[in-house]
Amino acid sequence: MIRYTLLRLAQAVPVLFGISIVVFFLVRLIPGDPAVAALGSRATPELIARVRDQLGLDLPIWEQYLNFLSHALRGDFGISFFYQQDVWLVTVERLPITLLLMGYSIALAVLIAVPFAFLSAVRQGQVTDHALRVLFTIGLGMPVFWSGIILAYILGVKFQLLPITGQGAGGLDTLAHLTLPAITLAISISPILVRTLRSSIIEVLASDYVTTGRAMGLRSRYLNLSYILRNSLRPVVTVVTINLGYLIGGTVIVERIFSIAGVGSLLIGSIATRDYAVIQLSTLIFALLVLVTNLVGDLLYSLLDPRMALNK
Amino acid sequence: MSDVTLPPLRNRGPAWLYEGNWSLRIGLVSFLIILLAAIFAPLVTSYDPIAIDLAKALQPPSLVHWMGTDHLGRDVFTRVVFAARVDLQIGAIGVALPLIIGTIVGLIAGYYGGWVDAVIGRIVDVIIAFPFLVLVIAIVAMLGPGLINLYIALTVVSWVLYTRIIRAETIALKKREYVLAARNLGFGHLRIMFGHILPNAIAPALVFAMSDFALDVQVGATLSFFGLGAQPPTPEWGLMIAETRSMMLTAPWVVVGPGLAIVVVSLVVSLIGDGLADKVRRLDG
Repeated sequence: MIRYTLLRLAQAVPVLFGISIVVFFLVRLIPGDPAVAALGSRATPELIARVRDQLGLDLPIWEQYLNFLSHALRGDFGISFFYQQDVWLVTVERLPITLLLMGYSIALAVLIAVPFAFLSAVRQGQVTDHALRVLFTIGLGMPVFWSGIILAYILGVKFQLLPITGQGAGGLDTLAHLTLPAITLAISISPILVRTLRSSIIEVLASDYVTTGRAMGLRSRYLNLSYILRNSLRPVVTVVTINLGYLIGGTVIVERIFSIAGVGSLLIGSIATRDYAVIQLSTLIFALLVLVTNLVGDLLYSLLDPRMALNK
Repeated sequence: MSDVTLPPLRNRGPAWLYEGNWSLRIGLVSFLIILLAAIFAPLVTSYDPIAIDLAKALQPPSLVHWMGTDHLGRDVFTRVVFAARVDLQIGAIGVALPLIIGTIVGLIAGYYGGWVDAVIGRIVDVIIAFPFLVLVIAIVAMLGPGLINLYIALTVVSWVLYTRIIRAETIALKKREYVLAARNLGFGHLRIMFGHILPNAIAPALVFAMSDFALDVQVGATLSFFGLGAQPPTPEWGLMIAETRSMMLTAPWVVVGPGLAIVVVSLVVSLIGDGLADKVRRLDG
């Protein structure tokens, strides 16, 4: 177990380096002088010189990267041009609401996916199964920004059931404000969950211990909950971690649509204000989130199922 | 799994729902219809997709305007049909470039192995670590808005997905007898890679390309929605929704048409993908 943990950590190091290189070079993609681009209409020769100096743009490229890396390791990503504040503070301050939204969406997605996957598996190959498959393919085909707008219109405006903008004043109010965005996200990720859960349940249904349980005359509710559901829920963690990048993409869109002050809406908002350092850091944070979650997911899984560590 | 363990056949519903060939057929025919409608858009509709006629602004759906008109009096259905040109192009280019690049790199990595494979593998790991949409948005944000930059971003981010598939297939195939035979006959590496391995390795990549197509159309529409992709007055589904979103309270139909178009294209492409996957399974089995 310790060996496996160390191995996984060692595997993550080169990826971490790679991520830092990509994030560093992102800013190099700006056509022309990045200093001019960042200053926009405010650019004067003196300001440009100052920003060039501040960004270290006159140094050789590898030195610039090492500078970036040593600053990044200390949490120093420069000053946001738009907020006139430390980029790290501006961005990290918005992370909790983003994480809350993601957690909420995953919980709702599981709540939606489990009963439908169960129904689909029990009625395997029947009309219900096919109808559900079509329904979830449609769910997967709906672009998040569109389903978000439609849901906001129906549930928020027509029926006035849920708030449609902002993140509320904390506590239950925040939860209420995050409900519509979370439903939107849950609709987009539950089809992926249903697909995996359905085949997992079908596999369990055909297993010997379920047949034995049935032969022993166990009540079907007990059989369903304690034998079938418990054993088929195992892949959920894996599916969620594997599709975390997809979920993050959806979170970015939904935060923007519902005006939630998270890292995602910060990323989109910073494009118009040309706040490149903020774009850089929010991209980095999302990549780190994927990396860390996958690592933790793998380790958790090997803790639950020691065979995993042996296989790798 | 052998066929013996399958549950007994019960009411499985109409045959076209589950027969792979039919899902492929229906998918391909629908796709062809959408493609032809996009190419011959001026024959499909008699309205102009761009000309403004404020006297006809925000009319509800009717027999004359199937999907109503937008805030500038343009026929929404006409714009949806013309927009298919842009959105299908996003899907096609967003799949073709990564497919070509990813396949070549994947063949090289899988065939040569060693340090070549190790280096390519690390690059793939790094790019896959980023959330797809976030990296595409970040790249376009830096390069500047527009379709060309969107294509660049889609290619940079998604070639690795094809590389991973083709690499795994290549590693499995290069130990097969016919590849060893080709090598013993003294064929060159290129001939073995492209003539012998590629034709047998490409099928899973093509199946994946179908879901990738739907994803690219959605990502393209999303970026256009945020002002990073197609620019006005170009009709594009995501951009159309962004332009008319504020009118939604009084005229909800303006955002319905373009959204449905995205859903329909995703459905059609996933039908083709399912059909292809089924065909591949049968060929392998």
